[in-house]
Amino acid sequence: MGNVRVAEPTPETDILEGCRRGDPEAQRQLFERYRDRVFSIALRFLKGDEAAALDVTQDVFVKVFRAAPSFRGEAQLATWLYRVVANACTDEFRRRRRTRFFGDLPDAIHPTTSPDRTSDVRTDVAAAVERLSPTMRLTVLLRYFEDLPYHEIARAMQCTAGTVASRLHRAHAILARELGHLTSAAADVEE
Amino acid sequence: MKPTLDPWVERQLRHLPTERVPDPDALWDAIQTELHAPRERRRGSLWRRPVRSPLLVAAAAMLAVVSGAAVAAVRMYTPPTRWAVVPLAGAPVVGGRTLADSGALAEGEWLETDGRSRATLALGRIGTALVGPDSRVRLERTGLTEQRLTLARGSFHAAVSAPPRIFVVETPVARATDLGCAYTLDVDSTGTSRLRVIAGSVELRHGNATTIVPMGLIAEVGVGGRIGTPYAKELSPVAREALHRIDADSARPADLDVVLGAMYGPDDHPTFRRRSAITLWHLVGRVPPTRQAEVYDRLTALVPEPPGVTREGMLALDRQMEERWRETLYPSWSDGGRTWVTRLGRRLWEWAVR
Repeated sequence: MGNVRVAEPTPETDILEGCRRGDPEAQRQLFERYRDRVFSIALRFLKGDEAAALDVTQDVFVKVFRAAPSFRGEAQLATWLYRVVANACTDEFRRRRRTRFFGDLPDAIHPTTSPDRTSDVRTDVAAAVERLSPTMRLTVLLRYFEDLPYHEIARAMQCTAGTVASRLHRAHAILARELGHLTSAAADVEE
Repeated sequence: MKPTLDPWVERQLRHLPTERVPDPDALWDAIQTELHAPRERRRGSLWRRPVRSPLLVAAAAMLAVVSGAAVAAVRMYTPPTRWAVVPLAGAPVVGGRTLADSGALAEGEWLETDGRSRATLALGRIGTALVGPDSRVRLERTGLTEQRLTLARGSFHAAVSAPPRIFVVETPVARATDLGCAYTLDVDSTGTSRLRVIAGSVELRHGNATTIVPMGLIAEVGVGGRIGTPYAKELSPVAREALHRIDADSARPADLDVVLGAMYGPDDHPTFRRRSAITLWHLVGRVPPTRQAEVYDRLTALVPEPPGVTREGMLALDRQMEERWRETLYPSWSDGGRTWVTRLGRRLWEWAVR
């Protein structure tokens, strides 16, 4: 029985170079690598609206593929991608807010947090995040969901690291207040 | 500032599940389709996006209404460059060509009729004219703000429906500017021009002198002379002759008596009193100073002095007082007597067309 050869993942620099040339294979690799993460951020940011999250995801990749030739590589590919995600989410949020002026489109048309996939606790946590302001929500998602450091979040959201810290500080206070009833009980259960 | 988060909450946040794209292949196809869509389609999709602001909708609607009104106004008043001519009798000549059926008069061309022919002439989109026998008419200009003809000789009857001062007819000695009206203009072989206003009013200019001739009055301008005193169309021929001599500074003392005797009295209908008042208003400055008071008294017997006008001032031919009298005698659309909306509309139009 011979050794099983596992394909090495393509380095991001190669993927980026392929995207610059418009190589469909490189584009597909970028899509496969980031699609679920982009979709998840959009879904959490848009309060479970799956259709809107798919639109944002599509929009993000189209923009990334179109802008790839002019991407100068000053930031990491992921950071640049998250910046596009942040902009797309903000644009979508503004569009929904304006559309709501006319009296249609509730916050979530197709909530995806189904009972069989998430616990009550996770549902409460996700709901608390959804109630944050858009900028705080996005900051929290990039910090904890994507595990980005402050300076990467600052680049993605085009603000300073101090602003990121300030937003997180306020978000922590809000989350502590909203989820305080769960922390002690849940901790007891886990122990 | 060091942000802190309850460790349990942080753990829950970090363990929120990554949601998977329901149908990655369909999404990939959608991305590729959008990525390779032609530019026109991309722009189309942008236009199909929901309206961004109700204010934008309101502004767009307002812009559409204003633009539509402006286009309609321009289309309504922009004349064609060639005006239709239809013979009524005989064989009128247009641009040197005898007209058998119908034709069109272009800028710079003459419409000529002989003693047995007549024709109708479309005045762009604002009216119609009847060109009488032995007439020569040339189309000078067909602009949006001015439509101008020359009447070298003959008779010309016009009915115009347009804002004031758009339609102008030049004769060898005068210029008749339409103020919204119907009128007849006759020019004899010497160039003497005679204006008879049937509806509305017409501004008659000769050199630097201008007068407004309202409905029911006639005014004449002779070669080398001045604008004649307007008079009522029913004035007797004898009184007309006397008036012409006064205008020509060749009157006998009895001429003024004849004219004053032909004027309406205080008991006559206001319309007729006003016609005589206009004649008398012109005469105050044209008769010898020794008889001005007599004319003025006849004027005030027909129409009371307006506020701010005195007998002494009028006899001294004070220009401001004369103007106040004029405004009293010509209660037309251009002056008082209408709402501020119509006055404002007229002012705006005049400002625009100038």
